[in-house]
Amino acid sequence: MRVFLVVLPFVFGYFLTGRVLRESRLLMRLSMAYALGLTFFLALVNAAFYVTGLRVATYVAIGVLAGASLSFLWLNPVRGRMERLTRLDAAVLTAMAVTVVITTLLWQMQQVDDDIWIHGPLMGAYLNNNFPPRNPYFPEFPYRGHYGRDLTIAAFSTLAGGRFLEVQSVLTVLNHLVTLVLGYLVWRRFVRIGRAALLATLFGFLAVNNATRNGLLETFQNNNTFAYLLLFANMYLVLAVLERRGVWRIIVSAVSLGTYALVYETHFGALLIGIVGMACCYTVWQPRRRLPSMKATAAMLAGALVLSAVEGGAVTDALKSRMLSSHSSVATTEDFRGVSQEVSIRFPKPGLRITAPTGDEYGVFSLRFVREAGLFVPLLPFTMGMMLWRRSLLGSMIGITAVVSLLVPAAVDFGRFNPESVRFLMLGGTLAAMLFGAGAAWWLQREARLGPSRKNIAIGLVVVILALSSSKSLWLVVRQLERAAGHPTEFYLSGAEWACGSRRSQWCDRVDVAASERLHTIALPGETLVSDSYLDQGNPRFRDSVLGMFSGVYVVGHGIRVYKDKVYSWQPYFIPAGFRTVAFWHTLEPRFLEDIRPTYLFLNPENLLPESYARLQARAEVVRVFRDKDPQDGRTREVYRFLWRPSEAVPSPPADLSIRTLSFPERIERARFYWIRIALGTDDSLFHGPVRISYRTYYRDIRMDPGDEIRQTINVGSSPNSGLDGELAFVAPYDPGDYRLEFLVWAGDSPSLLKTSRGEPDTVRIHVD
Amino acid sequence: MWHDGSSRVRPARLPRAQLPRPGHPHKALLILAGVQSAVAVSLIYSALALSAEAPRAAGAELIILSSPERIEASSVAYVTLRVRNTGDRTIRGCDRPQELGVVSDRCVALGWKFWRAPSQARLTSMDVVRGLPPNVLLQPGQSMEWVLRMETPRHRDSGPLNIYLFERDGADVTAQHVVIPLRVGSALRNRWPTMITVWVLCAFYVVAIGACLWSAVRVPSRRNPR
Repeated sequence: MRVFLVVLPFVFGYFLTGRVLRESRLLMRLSMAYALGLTFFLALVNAAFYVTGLRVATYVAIGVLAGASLSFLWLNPVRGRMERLTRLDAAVLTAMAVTVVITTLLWQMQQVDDDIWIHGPLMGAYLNNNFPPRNPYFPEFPYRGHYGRDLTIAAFSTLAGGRFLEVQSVLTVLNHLVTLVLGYLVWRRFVRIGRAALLATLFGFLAVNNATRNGLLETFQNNNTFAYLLLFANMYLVLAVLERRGVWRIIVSAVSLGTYALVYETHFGALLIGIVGMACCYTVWQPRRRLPSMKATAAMLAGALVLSAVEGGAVTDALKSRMLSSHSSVATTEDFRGVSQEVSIRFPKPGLRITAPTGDEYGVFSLRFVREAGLFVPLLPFTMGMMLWRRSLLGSMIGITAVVSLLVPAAVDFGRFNPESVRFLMLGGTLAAMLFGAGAAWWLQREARLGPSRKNIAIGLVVVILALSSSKSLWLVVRQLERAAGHPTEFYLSGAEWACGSRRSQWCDRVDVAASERLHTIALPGETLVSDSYLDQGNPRFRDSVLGMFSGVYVVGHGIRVYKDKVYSWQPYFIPAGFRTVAFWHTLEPRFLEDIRPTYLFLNPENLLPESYARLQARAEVVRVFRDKDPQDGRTREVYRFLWRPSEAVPSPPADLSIRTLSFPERIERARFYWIRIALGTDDSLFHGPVRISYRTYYRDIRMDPGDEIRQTINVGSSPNSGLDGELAFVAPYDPGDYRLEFLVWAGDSPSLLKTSRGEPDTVRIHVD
Repeated sequence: MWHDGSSRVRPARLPRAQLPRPGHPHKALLILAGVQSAVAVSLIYSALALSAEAPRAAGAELIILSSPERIEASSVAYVTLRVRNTGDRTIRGCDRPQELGVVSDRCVALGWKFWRAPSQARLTSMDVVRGLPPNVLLQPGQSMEWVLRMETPRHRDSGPLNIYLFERDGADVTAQHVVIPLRVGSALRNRWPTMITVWVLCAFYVVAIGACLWSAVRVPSRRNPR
């Protein structure tokens, strides 16, 4: 029954659009009802989630929206009338809608999502009441930036038994469908050129042709459907405010625009500038209505900015970190910024060049720019000029937003996030393609006046351009259908079935999902686990993300990837198994995880030798919580709980403790575990250890093991020749090269550099193959 | 779940390979190898046993403990095997089994290829290469049982599944080859709801697009009757 509650936000949206915004056209009302239902639901869940659990927050949001819907019944309704589309428009729009629904659904049945590795564990964490967002792989770091889409899906899925992958699939299809319809209707409403809406939609959905996507049709992964749906919804609201004003319109628009910052801050920023630019155009074009419209727009923008400054997400974090010392940066280096998603902003960007996903840079006036941004970007000055000349408010807003989106990656330095330029370029390229479509429609209209032959030639030319530029998108549709018809066994009806099925079955077993789901029933917020994915070498990153998304527990024990050359591209910011995790799995000694203190250990017993397994069972620091066995294939998983006690006190080391010898192997292979013989010396003959030691690895002056230093207590035995002998656990750096090691000795929580007998800091240089 | 709907894996104790090592070409042995290969193929197709085509690694032995005879397409198959250190030095699971390069000691990795065995057993010619867990250290004489998890082919077929044990010692790589007769069956029996759903979606799409096209081209005839 609970699942029927999901309808309530959209009922609220319907009443809001019909009775408050006074939208009379039925298709537009339904589309905006959907968009506003999502937006207000997200805004309320987000606010309530700061003070209560996700399930309660969802019910609070649903209750508030239901109450508001009832209160709208007192308002006079506006009679809804269906839009009258031409037969061609209706046929093409229906064909596009069917294509959007089927291809989006089929793709998700096979792949689920692009960046499921991060979105899945984030949604799982929300379902386990972990909020505000933290990096699911490094929960010691906040996860700054947008999270609106994941939170919306997680909140809806509390009404659907927590099956967020299925909810995501349904929402994505609906979002994409409404984006298509709303995109068409917004153009149709605000740009009164025959066929402009149809051509703008077709070019935007099929013919963008940039480096990452061919059009909006295939841009539905990750946050994209939320980003583009709410982009068009906010454009509609802004224009409604400008043309018809009204306090409620302003409030609704402010909430919607402010919440958009939580969904996609890049598009939110570009749209804000587009709105301001469009409002300036309006004051020039409509001097008589200048003052009231400007007031309404300013009030709406102010409301949106205030909301975005307090609701959470990127804008809130950016403002807080500048104004509150308690919210200062947690990222000490650019490598850490990947973990915390903290974006640094510098203006202007040196060199005014755009950084590609591959890390290299190119200029705005280059062929590369056209390849990266889209086919119709070079024509943007003409198409935008056309819209300005026609005094089109929507055209000018879209044009200015497109220009801003295309120039921001060249003008603003986002530090290690510069390779994310494609987010801006995709927006700019899509809007440029839409403007081209609208411009083509205008040209067709002019040619039609010059006679049927001119009209037919113009139609032919536009159709040829559309066909050529849409060919890649359409070919993808054909390929998708071909895959579906030819290999239907690679498609899945449920998320749990998908996770370790077909291609992914080589990376994890069904029992991984079942055991994670069982863990979800007992896990508490903030709990963490270390998995044995290091031992199962198929795709440890994917397996860990499966464990995280289905258990809702943070999967920890990874290493931060440090880039020696500091050139960043679309590369992972973490290594699946960190140094401490590697040391743990080679020794099965929980002391190596003492600094992480995970709550659980996730194990496939087959990955251990019988004697190692027996050794783990015998350890007092772990106790088995449950064992899951798949009745079909017999695979087994075990979950243990770590019993962490306060660290044992280690005697203070003598001040003159020094390293006498270290016996590294002749050849050190990267990321490998070694036991290293270490001999310490001291004049204090009464000192017999143990000693708490750690080491830090440097490449030139770059620390290579930040946040993942192996601290260990070494029992040392006296030997007549070399002093105090012991064994040191050492994991070689991840990459080949020459490194410098510094050794530290710990007295309580304070480290000091181990020195040579001559009093100099003891450093060791190693070469890693 | 296998093709016949049962979850049981039929265990079969399989003989290990016993062919001469490479680098010792001998005419008689080559003839013997050819004969044995021919015999192996016939054995595969009669599904009686498995055979070996390439020499086994010098210091490690691969024994298949159990394997399925029939598996489902686009699914997962499990092969239980035992790796035994027959050398006189410790052997470990390779850290990065897919990578070529020199290792400082001995390590083993497993690779497999469905249907056609490569002419030369190389890491690069495998469908998938997978290491034993990298924390495994097998002392001389010690062995480990392990379950190999493999994605099954997309299409129905039958033939040999070629499993290789690669042993890397410094710059040298040697391989032991074991063949398992295998039949990949259709996934229809167990996955028909999904397959029907997918096909219905495809059919609906084709029909809907056809209807839209028909609706669009119908316009002129209505506007200009006769």
